[in-house]
Amino acid sequence: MYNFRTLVRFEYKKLFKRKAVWLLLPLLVTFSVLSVVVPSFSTAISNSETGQTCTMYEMQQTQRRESAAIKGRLIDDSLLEEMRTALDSDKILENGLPASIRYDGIRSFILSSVGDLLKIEDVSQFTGSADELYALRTEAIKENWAEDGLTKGEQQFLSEKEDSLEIPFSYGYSGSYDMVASSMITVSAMLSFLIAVCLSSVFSSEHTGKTDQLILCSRFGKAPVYLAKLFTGITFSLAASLVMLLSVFVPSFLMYGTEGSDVPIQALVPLASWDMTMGEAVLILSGLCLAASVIQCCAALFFSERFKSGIPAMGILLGVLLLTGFLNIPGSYRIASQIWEFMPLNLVSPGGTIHNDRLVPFFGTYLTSWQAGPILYLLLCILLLTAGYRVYSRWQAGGR
Amino acid sequence: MELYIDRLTKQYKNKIAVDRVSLRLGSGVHGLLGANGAGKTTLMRMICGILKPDSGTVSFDGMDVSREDYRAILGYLPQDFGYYPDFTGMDFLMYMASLKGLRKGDARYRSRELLSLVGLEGQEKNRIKTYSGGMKQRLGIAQALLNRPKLLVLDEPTAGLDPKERVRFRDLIEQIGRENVVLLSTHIVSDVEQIADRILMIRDGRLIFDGSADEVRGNLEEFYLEQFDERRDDIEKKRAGKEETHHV
Repeated sequence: MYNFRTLVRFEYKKLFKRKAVWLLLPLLVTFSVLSVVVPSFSTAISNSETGQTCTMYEMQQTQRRESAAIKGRLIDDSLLEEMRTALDSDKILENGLPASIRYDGIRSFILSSVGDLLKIEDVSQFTGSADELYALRTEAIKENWAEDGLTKGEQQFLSEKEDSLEIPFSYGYSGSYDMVASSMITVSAMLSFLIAVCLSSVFSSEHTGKTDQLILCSRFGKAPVYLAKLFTGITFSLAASLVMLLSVFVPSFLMYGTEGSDVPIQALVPLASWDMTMGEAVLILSGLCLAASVIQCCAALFFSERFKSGIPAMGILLGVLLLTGFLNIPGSYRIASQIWEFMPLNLVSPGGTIHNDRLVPFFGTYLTSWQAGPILYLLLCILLLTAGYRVYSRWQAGGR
Repeated sequence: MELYIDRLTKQYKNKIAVDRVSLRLGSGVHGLLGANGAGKTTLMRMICGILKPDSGTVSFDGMDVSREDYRAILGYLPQDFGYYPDFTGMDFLMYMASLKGLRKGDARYRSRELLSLVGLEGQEKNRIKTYSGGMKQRLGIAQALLNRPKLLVLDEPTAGLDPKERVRFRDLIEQIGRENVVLLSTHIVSDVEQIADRILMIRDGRLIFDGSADEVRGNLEEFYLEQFDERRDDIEKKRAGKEETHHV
C-alpha cells in the first residue's frame, strides 16, 4: 500500500543527512537572535552635559517606561504642546537621559509624516497645530501618490481608506512590534539563503546519486515520490520560517514587552492609509514571510529537477536574493517597480508592503500588495510545481 | 506470464542503440549477452520504463510499461546502481520497500530475509558508504527482490561479486527464474552459461541469436565470440595456431 507518511519520513531523513541543513539552521537562528539583541547593547549614548553614558537598551527601556504615561492619548494639540514644553525644558532623568524621551514616539511620528515635505530635520522646527500636522500629512500622502503614478481609481480607493481612519491617531509604545517589523527583511534574507542551500538538491541528488532509476521504475516512484518531496520541502520551509520568526519575536518581546499590538500602524508608517494595528501589520508581514518561503521552496525544487544539479538551482536563488537586495527600481517606472516590489525580500518589508500604495486591479476593486502577493505566489507555485512534475515524470535514463 | 517486446527501437543521434527488437519471454532465466555498447543497457532501461523508445512497445501480461501495475511487478538492478551513502543497509531496503508499496511490517520482515539471503546479515545497521563494492552489489540485488517481482531485470548483476558470491547468486536467480521472468544481461558468458534457459545475443542493437543453451552445442563462450565479427578473425587465428601446434 502507498504510505505517504513513510515516504515523507525518508525524504526528511535524506534532507537531514546533509550536514549543511543541521549546521545552517541553528547558525541562522543564532544570527537572527543576535541581530535583535546585539545592537541594543553595542551602542552607547552619552550625555555631554552630565557625562553619563547608557546603552541603547537602557534608553529604549527608559522610553518604554516613560511613554506609559501618555499611552492611549490622542496626538492632538494638547499632546503636541506637552511635547514642546518637555523639549524646551532641561529636565534630566536619573540615568542622565532627557525627560523629553517620553515624547520620542511623537517626535518620530511628526518627522516621518511631514519631515520630507517641510524639509525639517528637527521636530522643534514644526510649530503648527495638530490640524495643520494632519493636513500636511494628507498633502504628503497625495504627493507620494503622484510620485508613484497612481491612477484616479487607486487614489479614490485610498482616499476612502484614508477617510475611514480615526484621526487624530492615538499614541502607544510598540517597541517590540517595531523591532519585529524592521527585522523581517533580515529573517527573509536568511530564509532565502537557507532554502537555497538546503532544498536545491532535493531532486538533483537523486540524479547525481543515480538513485533516480530505482525510484522511477518502482511502483510509487512517480507522483507519490514527487508529492512526498514537495511536502517535505514545503513543510521544511514553513517550519524553518516559523523558527526564524520565533527567533525574532521571542527576544523582541522579552526585551521590549508585548504591549503595543493595538497601536495604529501609523506609529511605524505615518503615511500609511490602512486602518490597521501594529499587531495586525506584524501578523501580515509574518504571513508574507511564510508565503515567500513557500514560493522560494517551489522555485528551488523546480530548478533542482530542471537542471538535475543543485548548483544552478542554488545559484539562481542566491542571485535573485542578491539582486533584490541591491537593485531598487524607481517608482517612476510604475509597472517594473511594482512587479519588483513582489520579490520575496521586498514584499516582506514594511516599506514594500504597508508603505506601498500601488494597488492591483482585481474584478472591479483593488488588492493591496499583501493581498495580491500571496495570490501571485500561489499561481506561481502551481505553475512551477506542474512544470516540475512534467520534467520529473518524463525523465529519461539515457545518456549515462 | 509473458514479457512482450514488439519492434523496440532507440536511436541516439546517429547511432541506433536498439534496432527493432521483438521478443516474447516467458518464465525462466533469460541471459542477454553482448559486448560493451551492444545495446543491452538501453534495451533493459526501455523494458523498465525509464527510457522511452523511439518506436515499439513493451508490455507484461497485457500491462503497458508506462503503467503503475507494470512497475508493481518489476524488480530492477541497474548497471550503475545508486544508493544513499549515509543510509544503513536496512534503511535503504525499508525505503525501497515503501517505494514498492510494502507494508511496514512486511517490509521489515522481507528486508531481513533478503539481507540474510544475500549474506549481509549483521551489516544492516552499518552505513552503505562503509560497504565494499561486492556488498553494495548484493544490497542492490536485495532491493530488486523486495516486492517478489514477476519480472526481474538485472543489468550486469555479478559485477564486483567474488566467485563464492557468484555461485550463491546463480543459485538464487535459478530459483527465482522457475516461477518468474528473469532477464539478466552480462558480457561474461559464464554468468549465464549454467543458469540461463534461453540465451539472447545482441550486437549493434540487433538481436543476433535467440535460442536455448542446448542449441549452441558445445562451448557457449566460443559460440558467443563467433557471433562477433571483430572477434571471429581472432578465434580463427587461435584455432589455426592450435592445429599447427598439434601438427608439430
